[in-house]
Amino acid sequence: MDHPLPLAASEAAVLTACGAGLIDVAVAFGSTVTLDIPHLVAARGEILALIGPSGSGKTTALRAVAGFVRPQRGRIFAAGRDVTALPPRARGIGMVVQSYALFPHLSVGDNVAFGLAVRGVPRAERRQRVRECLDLIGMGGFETRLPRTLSGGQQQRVAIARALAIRPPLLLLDEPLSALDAQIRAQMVDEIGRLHARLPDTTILYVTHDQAEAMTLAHRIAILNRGRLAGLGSGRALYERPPSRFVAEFLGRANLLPIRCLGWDGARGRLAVACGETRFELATPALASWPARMLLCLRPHHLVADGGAPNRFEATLRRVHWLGAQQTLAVEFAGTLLAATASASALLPPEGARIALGFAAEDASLVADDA
Amino acid sequence: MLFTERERHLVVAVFLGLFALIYGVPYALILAASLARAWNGVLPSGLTGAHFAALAGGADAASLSASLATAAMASLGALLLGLLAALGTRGLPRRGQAACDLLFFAPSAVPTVSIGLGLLVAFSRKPVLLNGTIGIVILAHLLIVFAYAYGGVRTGLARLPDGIEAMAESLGAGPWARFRRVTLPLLAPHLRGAAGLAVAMSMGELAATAMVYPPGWATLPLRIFALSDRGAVLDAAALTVVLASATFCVLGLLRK
Amino acid sequence: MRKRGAGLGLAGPPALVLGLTLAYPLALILGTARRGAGVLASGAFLAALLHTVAIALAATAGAMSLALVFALVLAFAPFPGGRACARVAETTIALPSFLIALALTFAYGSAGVVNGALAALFGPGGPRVDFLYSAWGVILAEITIYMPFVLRPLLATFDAIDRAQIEIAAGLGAGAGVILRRVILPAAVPALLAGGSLCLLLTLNEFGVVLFIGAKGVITLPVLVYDKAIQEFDYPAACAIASVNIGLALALFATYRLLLGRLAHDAVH
Repeated sequence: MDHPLPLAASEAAVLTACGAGLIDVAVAFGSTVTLDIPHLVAARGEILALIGPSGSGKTTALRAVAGFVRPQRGRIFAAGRDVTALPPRARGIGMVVQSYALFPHLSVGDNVAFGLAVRGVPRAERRQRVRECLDLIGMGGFETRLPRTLSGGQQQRVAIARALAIRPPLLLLDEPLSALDAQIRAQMVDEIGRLHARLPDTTILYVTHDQAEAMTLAHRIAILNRGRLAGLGSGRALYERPPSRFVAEFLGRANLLPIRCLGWDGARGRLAVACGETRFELATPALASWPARMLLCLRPHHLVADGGAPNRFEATLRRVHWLGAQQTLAVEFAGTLLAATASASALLPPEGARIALGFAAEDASLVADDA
Repeated sequence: MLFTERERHLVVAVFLGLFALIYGVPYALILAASLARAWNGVLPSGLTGAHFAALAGGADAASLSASLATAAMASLGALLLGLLAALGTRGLPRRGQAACDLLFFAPSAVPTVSIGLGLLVAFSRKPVLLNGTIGIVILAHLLIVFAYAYGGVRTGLARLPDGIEAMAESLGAGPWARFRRVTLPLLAPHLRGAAGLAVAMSMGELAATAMVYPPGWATLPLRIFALSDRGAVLDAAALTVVLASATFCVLGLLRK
Repeated sequence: MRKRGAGLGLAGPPALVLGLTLAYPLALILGTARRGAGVLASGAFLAALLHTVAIALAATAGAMSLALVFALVLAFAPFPGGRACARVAETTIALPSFLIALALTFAYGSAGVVNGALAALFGPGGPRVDFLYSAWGVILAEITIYMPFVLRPLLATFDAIDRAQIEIAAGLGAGAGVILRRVILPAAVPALLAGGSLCLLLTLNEFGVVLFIGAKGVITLPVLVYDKAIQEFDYPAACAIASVNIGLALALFATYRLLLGRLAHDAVH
């Protein structure tokens, strides 16, 4: 392992107060780099979701924090401590995985007590803590049952209780709900939210492939792509102002149109752009310079039929799906298929006809064409 | 599915006939012979427990205890060494693992007579003189059952639930606590299975034992051979029933 | 990810024990063999080699055929008690091999049930059935003993065949014979080969059966090693014969492990 560079004093101060941090971390298996993160820090008590396509390195990042993956470079922080050199057992981190990994030969009570037993916590206190943790997740009274007699949801609750029993300041959840069916999953998302409300100082790193879970639970979301951090921010910020084409396309649906920048009107705070022959005005913050190739990012629900918005253009209606609360449209504009929305009651022209669409200046964003 | 109903009945009937002839008849005959007063015609003439009663003392009883003691010690040793070998080589890359498997399974391929011969050649001289001791019998049996013990432990390790040991580690368990509280209990059924197989192999071992056994440590198979060679086939059958029963008793105890 | 240094250290003691008590003695056998190499030109040795290989091949072929028939019936014409039969056959593995040889002498021996019955029917006279005291007796016993080693992987393979495959083949108009040839047997080949090579290895090394049946003129390599060493105290000759036996066995063993590796590899990919 290379010796990490000394950290600046101010940075060190921030890290001693952090919930979890990866600083200049690189992980490689053989010659392929699977993780390369210059800086990712979760505040104490924060729920930080790690999402990304499969193979993006999100689980590797989590396992690096847990200590099961040794980074080639960089420093790992947990609850304000530099744990880079510590083995997993000395890190004091709670962990929950997709497969639950409950000890099949131990009762529910002994599973939850495991971390306390290996720490030499006296029996009476152990029993007390086990009861507390099981009550916390609504599994009181299951102490003597064996894991295989429980349902998937119950097993995952026990796995969470086991992780919490050692009172970890940092909890790592690796796709904790992926093995459960949709209904129980929604229930467990609420449950984890309530749990964090009762343990507000516990930092949670939450790896998931489910965007809705991440949006519901997390204070901030880190999006990984090919081992690198592609975006970091609140779900809303990432959705409304995606920092890159990858984030725009990964998080929800996005219409992307190539545009040219025409000029910046400082007085009105508007940027004039052109897509082919059509001009649009966008409300974007002022920037010193604009990259040459830009994409206009429009979410389908911002692109409305007969919206009466300032940015109007005509497109060809290709298909209409009526979904009760609204209608979704596929329209063709400048050779690209776009997704748009209309109210359920809107009267639409027949498929194949021209249709007027519009969007508000505030609802569009620009992303660099990095693909 | 593959057969019509009528074909199925025919096929099953042929199977049962063949099975009874090949596996039913031998076991039935051994049992019948062990209880026969005399057997000169088609069927044994009269039943008797005399053959079993005759085993109660002397050389036959001694051979039973020699067999049990040898099997117990050799299996225990093989299991311990097999456990170490399997624990030590797991987690190696695929090629390394295959090489270690080749090495640790190889003893099962060496003809047992040659294992005996090798021990005789190597340990009939200084510095280590084992020839003529009980130790050489136990060592031979240990070598013969080692691969089965190793294989059993290795299968058990491969079937440990994914990530279960990592979980124990993240909960604060050190290497020893992890082994004692998680790995070993989960391995226990496989260890018992391997021990059963080892004991069964050892109890029935004839070739290497015939090469190396010292006077006074004739195991059951040797004694059975001596009886049958002498023409006392009914006594040999009775002692074979004892051997099979003892083996199944040990297997039953281990399976419990 | 696991700390391999400490792990590999655990394998030290068993490797040391095997090295000192198996590899070293085998090396001594090889070393001594040079002094007894003359025996390898003798008629007794060549006859034993021929017998060993012929008996092993015949017993293995028999065990594979019998296992194939048994597995086909148990898997595709299941009946109550069928799996119990398979377990009875498998207990043979746990019992000493000479048990079957002893039992066969009660059935087909000169004073056995069959000859007793023939004598009762046709009057007294020498044993009318005496195949037991030839290579055939040894082969029959070894088939019985080693069949389960092929049956077990075959049954596992057959149980893993998707029944829908057979139904679809039948739906496409294939008869039982075609399904057997085109669907079932190709799937059985790896298990047959793996079980068969294990069988061949064990029959090459078999000692107890040959000794118990005691057929005159049927001497195999392991029995010849025993005779030279224990009856004649001719250790160099015993070592020379043992070296050939060990070489044969280890070559077969390497083939078997290679097959197993290929099997596991196919199962993964």
